[in-house]
Amino acid sequence: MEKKGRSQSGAIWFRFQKNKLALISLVILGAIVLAALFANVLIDPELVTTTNSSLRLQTPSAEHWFGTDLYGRDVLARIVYGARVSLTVSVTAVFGALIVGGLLGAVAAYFGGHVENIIMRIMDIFMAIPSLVMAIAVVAALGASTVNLVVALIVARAPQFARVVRSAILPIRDLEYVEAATACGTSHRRIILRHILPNVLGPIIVQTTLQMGHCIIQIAGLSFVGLGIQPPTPEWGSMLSEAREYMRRYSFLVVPPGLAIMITVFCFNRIGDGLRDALDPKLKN
Amino acid sequence: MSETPLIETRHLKKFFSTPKGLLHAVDDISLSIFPGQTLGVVGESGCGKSTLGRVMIRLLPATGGEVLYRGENFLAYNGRRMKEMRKKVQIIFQDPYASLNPRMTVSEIIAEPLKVCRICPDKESMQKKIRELMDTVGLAPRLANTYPHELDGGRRQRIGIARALAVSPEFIVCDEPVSALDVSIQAQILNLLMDLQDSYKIAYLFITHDLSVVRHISDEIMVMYLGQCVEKAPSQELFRNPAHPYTEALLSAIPIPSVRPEDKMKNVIRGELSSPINPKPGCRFAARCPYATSACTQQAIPLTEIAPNHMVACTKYQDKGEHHG
Repeated sequence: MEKKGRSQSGAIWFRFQKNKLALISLVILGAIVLAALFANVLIDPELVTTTNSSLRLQTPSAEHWFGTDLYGRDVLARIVYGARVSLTVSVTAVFGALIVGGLLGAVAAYFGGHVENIIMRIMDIFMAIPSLVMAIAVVAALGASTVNLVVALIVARAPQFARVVRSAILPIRDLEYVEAATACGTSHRRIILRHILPNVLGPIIVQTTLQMGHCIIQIAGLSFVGLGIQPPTPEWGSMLSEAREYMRRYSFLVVPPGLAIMITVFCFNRIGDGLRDALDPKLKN
Repeated sequence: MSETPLIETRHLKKFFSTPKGLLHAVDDISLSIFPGQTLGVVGESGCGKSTLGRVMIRLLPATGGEVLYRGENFLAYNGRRMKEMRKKVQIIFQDPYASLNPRMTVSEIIAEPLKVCRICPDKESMQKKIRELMDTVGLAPRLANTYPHELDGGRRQRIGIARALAVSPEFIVCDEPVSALDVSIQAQILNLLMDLQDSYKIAYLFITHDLSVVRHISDEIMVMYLGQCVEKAPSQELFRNPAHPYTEALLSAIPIPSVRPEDKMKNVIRGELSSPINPKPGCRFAARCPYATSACTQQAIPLTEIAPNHMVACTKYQDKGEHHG
């Protein structure tokens, strides 16, 4: 069992690491994740929220690498802790969307007929609404909080997963090993979870990675307009929003959160692309 | 054959609705198979052989008719009784590449029916049972933890057979189990299937388009054409006295190793299969039949017994002699 697992994942890794941009992205993202995980070891949490009016709007220095913001808080500390917030929220939201959307897509593809039509048409309706507008609507209806933000993102993202999972399952659904499972009386649940989903992991992984990037942008966007993470919790989008007002005179303030968003999203997208190429069976030699 | 049949179909029908109309995949098939016997089903691609097999074990819902298992129509069974029934009827598939889950090891694949049907009370007995099954179908124990893609077609097909045997079925639908295999391996798998039949008294519905295979394994043979049974007879009788023009043509298509020109295929069928969608009444083979008369396309042609257990649906035999051609 291990033998094949290793050889197959080995082959995937071999193809993935040939894509240097994806590899570099993986390293950078790894660093960001580690920084977020060990933020409290690296930087005193006090720095994130302690305001000090004597230190307002300082330019970058040895003490404050990225300078200080309007309230005299260290920008570097807020960026690192912001990564924690962005990543936690986007991971939660994407996995939530994956479970909700993925199961809906799987059920739709597996049962077909009316079930499929009803589920997928509802997903179409959701997809017809731009996901940012959708998320804004959900947050506006439920009120702005981190939990509601996650709910909004799940609602906005789930249809994408439903579509991807459904289209991945369609060609597998009628294969004979699924029939064989039916022939010995396997329940639908077990067939979907044990026989079908493990065989569509590739597209699911790719989609999950790509959605992470989209999700981080959306969190930042919602926070930028004040509907996402609420201050004083550090978040890239809201930092950007605060810094925007002083952009003319203190332009150094917009650069760190902007770059943080850009780099993280870029990394997720590159890794997603790399994974897609590595997992795509058509490119297999 | 005085005992009751193990499995029997009565006027079994399966229609698929397509945008163009109803596709008659299985149209009014009645057959019976006795314990430990094999019914071979032959016919060209698309004649509904595989659909018949799948409807008989309820992998597809029937449009009409009954499937009796020891006299009981199990098409009407509800969920729980059907789950019990699933242990009695199994299927072996044609494509040993598509019929095994690529993410499972050999032992996981064989364990799956054991788990689902809760056959083994504990892990130990399950492992023992898996080893027994692998031994029965001739798979070396060392293959237990390999994945199907590492094995050749013959071994993969043995896994499929072991999986079907796991629940100790009494009836197995063999859906072209050897047509995807090399000739040398075909014989091994056929012999395995026949040995299993001898030891466990399993009845087979053996679907194939390969006549030499069907002759080798079947007690009785049914010839299908576009969803209908055109001829049914004991194996020897069918090969000796093919009655239906379609059967004749099929048999003459068996290659004979000879260089004499007169031994070349004499009776080649011309033309394409007519459409199975909303077929016209009468004999569906009429459009390609060298003996077709106007009587052939007037009304449905029933099966007539022309010799003991030899049934044929052809106007030639309906009122004997009249249309003899």
